[in-house]
Amino acid sequence: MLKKDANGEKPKLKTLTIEDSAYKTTYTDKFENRVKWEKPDERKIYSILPGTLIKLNIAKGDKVKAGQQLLIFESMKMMNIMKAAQSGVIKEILIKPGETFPKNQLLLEFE
Amino acid sequence: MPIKNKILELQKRRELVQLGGGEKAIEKQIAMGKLTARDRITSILDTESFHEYDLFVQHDARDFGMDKKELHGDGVITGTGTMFGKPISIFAQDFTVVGGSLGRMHAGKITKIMDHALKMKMPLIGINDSGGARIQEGVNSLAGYGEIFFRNTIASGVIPQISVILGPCAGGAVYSPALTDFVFVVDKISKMFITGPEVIKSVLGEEISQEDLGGAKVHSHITGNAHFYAESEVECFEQIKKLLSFLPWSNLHKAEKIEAKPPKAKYKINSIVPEDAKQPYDVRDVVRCLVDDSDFLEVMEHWAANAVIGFGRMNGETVGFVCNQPLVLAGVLDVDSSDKIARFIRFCDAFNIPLVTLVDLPGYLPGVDQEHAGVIRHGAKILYAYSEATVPKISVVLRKAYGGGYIAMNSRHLRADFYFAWPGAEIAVMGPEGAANIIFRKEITEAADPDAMRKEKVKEYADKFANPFVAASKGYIDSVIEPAETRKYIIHALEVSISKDAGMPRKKHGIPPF
Repeated sequence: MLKKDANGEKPKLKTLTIEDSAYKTTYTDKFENRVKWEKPDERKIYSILPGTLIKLNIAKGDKVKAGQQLLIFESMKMMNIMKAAQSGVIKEILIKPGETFPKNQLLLEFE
Repeated sequence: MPIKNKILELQKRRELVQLGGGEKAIEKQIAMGKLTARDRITSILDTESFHEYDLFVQHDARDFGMDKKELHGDGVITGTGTMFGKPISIFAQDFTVVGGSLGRMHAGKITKIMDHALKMKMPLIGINDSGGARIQEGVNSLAGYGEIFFRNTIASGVIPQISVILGPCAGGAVYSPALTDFVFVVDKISKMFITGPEVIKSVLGEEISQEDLGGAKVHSHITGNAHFYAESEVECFEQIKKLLSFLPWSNLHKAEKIEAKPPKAKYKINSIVPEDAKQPYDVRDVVRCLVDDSDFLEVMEHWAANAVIGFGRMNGETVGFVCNQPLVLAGVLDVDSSDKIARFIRFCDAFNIPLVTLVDLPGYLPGVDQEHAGVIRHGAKILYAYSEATVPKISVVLRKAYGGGYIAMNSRHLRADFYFAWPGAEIAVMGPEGAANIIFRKEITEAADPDAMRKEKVKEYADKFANPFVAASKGYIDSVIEPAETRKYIIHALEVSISKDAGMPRKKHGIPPF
C-alpha cells in the first residue's frame, strides 16, 4: 500500500526494466535528467572549455595533418592551442577570431 | 576591595568581547535570517551548560594594517557544555567579526577544542559561518585549515564529529565538514562551494547564484555532501539533538540503552510488501514496524533515495538500518547509493552500532552513465564495508535478492551473522523473466507461439527458484520467518551477538576502493 504524499497524491509510478522484469517505481531527478550517450563523431570538433577564439591557423578546404595547429583560443585565463587529432580536410569552420563560445559548441568539421 | 574591581574589570572585558563584531554587525546577521554564533551554541547545548575558553585570544597579524585591528575572540567561539547531561565540545564561527574569517589564532582556538574533544572522548560540533581564509594572514591561514583537517581525520572513528553549515563555507574551508561524519544544512542559509559564482563567471563564463551552486538543497539533494536538511536553524538544532540521542559518545562505548518500547500499533507489517515483486512499497514503513516506538531517524533522506539508511532502536539499543527502497528506482544499487550505504556501514562499525539490512532489490542500475561513472569501484565499496564490519550484522530478505545485489546486501558470504528471509523472498541469480529468457532461449525462439512458451518457462523458473527455500537448503539463510516474527528474531540475534569477536587479521589498514 502506497501512502499519499503531503499534497494528498499517490506517487506517480513509472516503469524500470531490469533483466527483462518491468518494475513499477518512481524515478529520481538524476535518473530522469541523465544524458543519453551517443557515439562521438570524430569528424566534429567541439569546444572542451568556454573561451574566445584568438587565432585561426586553417581555412575551409585545407588539408591538415595530425598534430598540426588548428587554432588558438583563450580560456581559463590561458592561451590554449588546439591541434588536429587526425589528418583530414577541413569541411567547415563555424567560428571567427574574436568570437566567444561556450563549452561543447561545434567549432569545426572534418570531411 | 581590590578583587572587587578586578572582577568588575573582567565582567566589562567579557561583555565587550562577547558582543563579537558589535551591535550593528549583529543586526546585520539577524537581518540575514541568521542567529548569532553565541545563540546557536546555547540553543544546541543544555541550558546554562556552555563554558567558553579562549575568549581573550588576539590575532598577531602585522601586515596590511592588521596590527591596528582588534578582533573579538578572533571570530570564533569555542568551549564545552553538555547535551542530555553528557559532555560535548563545540565551536561556532562568528560572522560578525570580520566575516568569521579564519586566521592563525582563530584556527588555534578550534584545534584546541578539537584536541580536548579527542582527549576527553566527547563528540565535537562545529558551526561553520565564515567568509573563508583571512587573506591578510596569508599562509598562516592555510596552515590553520590544514591543522583542522588533520585533526578531523585523526578523530574520525573515535568521536562523532558533526558539522553545521550556517552561512558561507567556501574554498578550502569545505573540507573540514567533508571529513566529518554528519553535515547539517539549512535552507537559504547554508552555502558551500570550492569556487564561488564570481570565479566561475570570470573563468568559465557561467552565471549561477550561490544558492543554485551550493545551497542547502543542492548539497542535500544533488551532491550528497549534506546528511540533514532543515527549513530553519531551530529545526536544524532539533535534528542535531535527535541524531546525537542515537549515538555513543566515542568508539569506546556503545550508545546508551534506553527503555524499550514496542512499535506503534498503526504500522501493520503484513500489509506493506506486495506479493508481486514488481510492485513498489515504502521500505521505511517496514522499518517503522520493527523499531521501538516506530521512531526511525533517516540519514540522507533526499539523496540516492533508492537506498534508505538511518538509526532506530531495538529493545532500547541503537541499530543502524540499511535498506533497499523499492519505491525509488525499484531499489537498485547504483553509484550514489553505494557511496551512501558504504559510508554509513563504516560509521556504524566504528561506533559499535549493530547493522540491520533489509533486502529487496533487483540488482544494479543499468546504463552507460552508471558504467562510465565507475559503478564498479563505487559498488565495491559496499562489499568492502560489509565484509570489514565487525559489529553484529543481521539481514532480512523481504522479497527479492537477485544476483550481485544479493551478495552485496550483507549476505552470508560477506559474513552476515544472521540471515533471515520472509516466506515470499526470492533469492536467485536474477528475476524469473531474465533467467527464463536465457536458460530457455532455444525453446522459446523455436516454439510455435514464443510468447506462450516464454510465459510457461517464466512460471516454471519462478515456481522452482523464486522462493527462499533453495537458499535455505544450502544454509545460506538461517531461518525463513513470518513478517510478524521479524522484530523478535532481530532482537534475539542482537542479544546473542553481544560478545561477538570477528577475529580479523592484524594489519595497518585495508585499502578500500575509495
